[in-house]
Amino acid sequence: MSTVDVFGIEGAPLGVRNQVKGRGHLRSGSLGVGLALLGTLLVFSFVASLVGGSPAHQDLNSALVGPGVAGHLLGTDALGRDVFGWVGGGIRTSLEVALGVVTLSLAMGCTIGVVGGLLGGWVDVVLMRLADIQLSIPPLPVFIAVSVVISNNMSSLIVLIAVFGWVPYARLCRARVLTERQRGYVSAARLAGRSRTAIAFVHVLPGITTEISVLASLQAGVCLLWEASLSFLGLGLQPPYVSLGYLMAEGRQVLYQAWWVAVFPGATLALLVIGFNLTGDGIRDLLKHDTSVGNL
Amino acid sequence: MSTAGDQFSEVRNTRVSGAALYVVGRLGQGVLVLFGAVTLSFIIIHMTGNPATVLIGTSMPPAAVHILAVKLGYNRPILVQYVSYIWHVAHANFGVSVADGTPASGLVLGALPYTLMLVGISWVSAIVIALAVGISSVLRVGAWGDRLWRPVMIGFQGIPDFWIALILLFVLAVKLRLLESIGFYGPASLIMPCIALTLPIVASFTRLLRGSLLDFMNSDVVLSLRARGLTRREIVLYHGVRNAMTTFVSYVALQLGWLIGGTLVIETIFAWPGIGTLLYNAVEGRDLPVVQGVVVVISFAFVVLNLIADLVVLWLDPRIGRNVLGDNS
Amino acid sequence: MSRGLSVCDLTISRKGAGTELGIGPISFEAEAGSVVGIVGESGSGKTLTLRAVMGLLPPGFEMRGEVRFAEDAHPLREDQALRAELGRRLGVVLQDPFSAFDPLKSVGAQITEGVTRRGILPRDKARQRAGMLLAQMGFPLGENIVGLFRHQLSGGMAQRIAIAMAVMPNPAVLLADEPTSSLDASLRIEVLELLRDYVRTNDAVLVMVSHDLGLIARYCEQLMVMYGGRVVERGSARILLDNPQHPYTQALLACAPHLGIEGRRELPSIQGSAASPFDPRPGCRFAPRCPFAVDLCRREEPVLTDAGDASVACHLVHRSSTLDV
Repeated sequence: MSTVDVFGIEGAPLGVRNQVKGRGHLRSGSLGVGLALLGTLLVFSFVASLVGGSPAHQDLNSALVGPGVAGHLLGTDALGRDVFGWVGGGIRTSLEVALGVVTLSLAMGCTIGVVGGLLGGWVDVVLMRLADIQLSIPPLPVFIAVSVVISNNMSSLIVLIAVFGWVPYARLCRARVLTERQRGYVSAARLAGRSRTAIAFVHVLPGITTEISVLASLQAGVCLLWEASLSFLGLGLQPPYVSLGYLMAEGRQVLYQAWWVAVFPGATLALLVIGFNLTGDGIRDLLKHDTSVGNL
Repeated sequence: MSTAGDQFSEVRNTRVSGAALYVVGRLGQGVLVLFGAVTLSFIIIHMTGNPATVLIGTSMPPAAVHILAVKLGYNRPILVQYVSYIWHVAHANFGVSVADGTPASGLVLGALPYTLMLVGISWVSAIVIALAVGISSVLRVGAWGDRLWRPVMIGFQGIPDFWIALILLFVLAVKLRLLESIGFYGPASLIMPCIALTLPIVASFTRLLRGSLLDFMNSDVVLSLRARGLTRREIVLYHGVRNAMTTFVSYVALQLGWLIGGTLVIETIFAWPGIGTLLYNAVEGRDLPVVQGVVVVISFAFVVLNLIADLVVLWLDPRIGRNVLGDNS
Repeated sequence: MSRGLSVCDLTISRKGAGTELGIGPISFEAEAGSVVGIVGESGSGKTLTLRAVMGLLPPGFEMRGEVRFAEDAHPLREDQALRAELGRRLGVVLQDPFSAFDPLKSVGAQITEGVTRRGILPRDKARQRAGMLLAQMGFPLGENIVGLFRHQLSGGMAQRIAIAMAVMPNPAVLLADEPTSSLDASLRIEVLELLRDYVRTNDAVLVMVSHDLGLIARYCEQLMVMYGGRVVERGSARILLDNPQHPYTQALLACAPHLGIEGRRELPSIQGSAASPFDPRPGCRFAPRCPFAVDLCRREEPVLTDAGDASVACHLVHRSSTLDV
């Protein structure tokens, strides 16, 4: 039985319809795999910090050593840094960046969205136009351009990337505020004297946590790619920060002699991004499944 | 008295004027966006207060900085600078490159075709592959396929394009010595960068197309189409694809815009003479006019592409033009 | 050669399950030019019955039984065989008039699509026929209907166009699933008359499914009342209206506002909710809601047997008829 149902099941009695659609829950295997992937990488990073060499430690005597040799599981780079340790540290850095970006974007976006939804009028129009403009500007060139004037530290990077990610949250919050505004309990609460912002935070936001987590996961994946790209170009995080992108840039230099310096960090980055994407997609699937079954 | 067959002459008038309104609206939005992008590039340059400092570095004596500021006009009131900037941009004048003294616009427009070449080929390849794979996967109804598609596609989407580029570089250029690793030297040099660019977007294109097609195939209309006597193949090809196209076109146009901005890293890996490399060098060399020029040109390309996409969607979907006029009988 | 339809022992059940649990058995014979009405609540299985005749059962269901076009020597038993008749000898009109059309194509293109693709008519002939049918459906000649898109149509217009589209191949059998439920009350009569007039003039059979007995009864020669997947009463429409024997049929008629007595304020309704055809409980499926139910009704399922001029599946009717003799 495939999910491609040409003929639809609208004709079937409701009880049957729900049963046939029940196979939807199989799809949230994405979620399981995604979380498992992220979990594994996290564990990997802890193991690396215990077993592997410190990313800061340089040892020119064992420069460009291949994987599996002399206690370096994934080899070393041109300065003798242990790739295994670096990759482990890189995972942590990436997760920090992702956390920072997502939190900031979320806060900005939800605030803007709620404000726009509550106040309406020209404020709303202006904010939404801003959102359109924001979406129409490809971020990477702007990141690169901005690095002309901005220094390379984690906070500025996080702020920079977050600024380019608030729109989906804003749209979500705004839409939810607008629909909830019509509901009865809002008028009742208003009559009881509660302020509009209180209503927004107490009633509206809890309902959208699942959708927000979808957006957050997907954004996490994307922002990791951006951070890595910038660090690769030397415009993002450099030592003492431990960035996967940075090591890949090193790997580019020594590609001929030591392929492992570029390949392992890149593979790790890919796995991180895939993990976030699968997680976000899996949560989205659960959302869809819920509404279809509940629709009687 | 007209014959029965005459009913097939179509009346297009209402549709055209509704569509015109829509286009004007979109144009307006495009101009707004462009304005926003230009302003943004202005803000970037002036974020630290005095661009002259950026250009020359803080180790120089203030007097030298001041001389440079006057020479480049950075000491004027900010609003004056802004207006002057807008004026110049409107004339495609971004100033003169710090590196070699040639007009920045010339440099940018000279590098643009190389980037477009890369982006264009990757984009078209991705669309063609997505159409082929997406449509045929829906034509064939196989239980195994459905569950695997989504995770596999998501997997591909998550792989960094520059990582693919490095691996390709290693395998093809270093180990197998099949291709040269840098620069533009004819069609063969396109292979590696294009593959690297295409793979992540093929995945997302295919997913989207498949999703839209499947949404259509699961909709109510299909029962009626089937009841008319159409085969599944006919339904997918003559109805499904068309219905999926509206979302698909909007999405791929958006991606094209993002691609233009996103080839930067790939270009630097292959030393490709496009605007990515140009931007990177300009950033390294603190060449502000070129930086501004690149940002504006990229935004402009993005706006134009989206406008074209909107026009295509308008052509595909007869509901849009009419809805604007509220023409519902 | 007559163009009638006969259905014999049609049952629909879950794949792998037996036929006791499910819908049917359904049997009837209809002459060309007549209308068969199938009436029941939602969940009674009437829609699935139509889908079975179309050969388009949802995944997980299978059908048994025969569908025979009177002009054929042999009946059709496989769903592929029935599906092959769609757009040829089987025409379908569905409940939602808008979902009959692809939103991105003009209705004109879609009316002719079925027959041109199947090679039944060349394009110009198809267009002519479409124009003629549209005129029959009440659209004046010359009015530009074919260039319209579905979002520009009203419900009544869309359904009439959908009917024209369904009868393009001059089908021997027209299946209609609640063709008027989505329409305004004022349009319902019009659409039903169009359907009936069409089949009479073209020697086709109309099998119409509805939940509104009062509405369709006057348009049907035969009526079947379904409940919980079973046929509970069957006979000519006139007989059923004059003398309904099954308690469910009686209740349906009592609920019908169309045949109600003038001045009655309250609309009676039937207590309880509809039974599922797949409910394995023993006994008559209507028993829980039947005001006359006795122990026998809850133990043993009644079989459709002749009782006077109709066929009824009810223990009480049989008991009283045997007593009468």
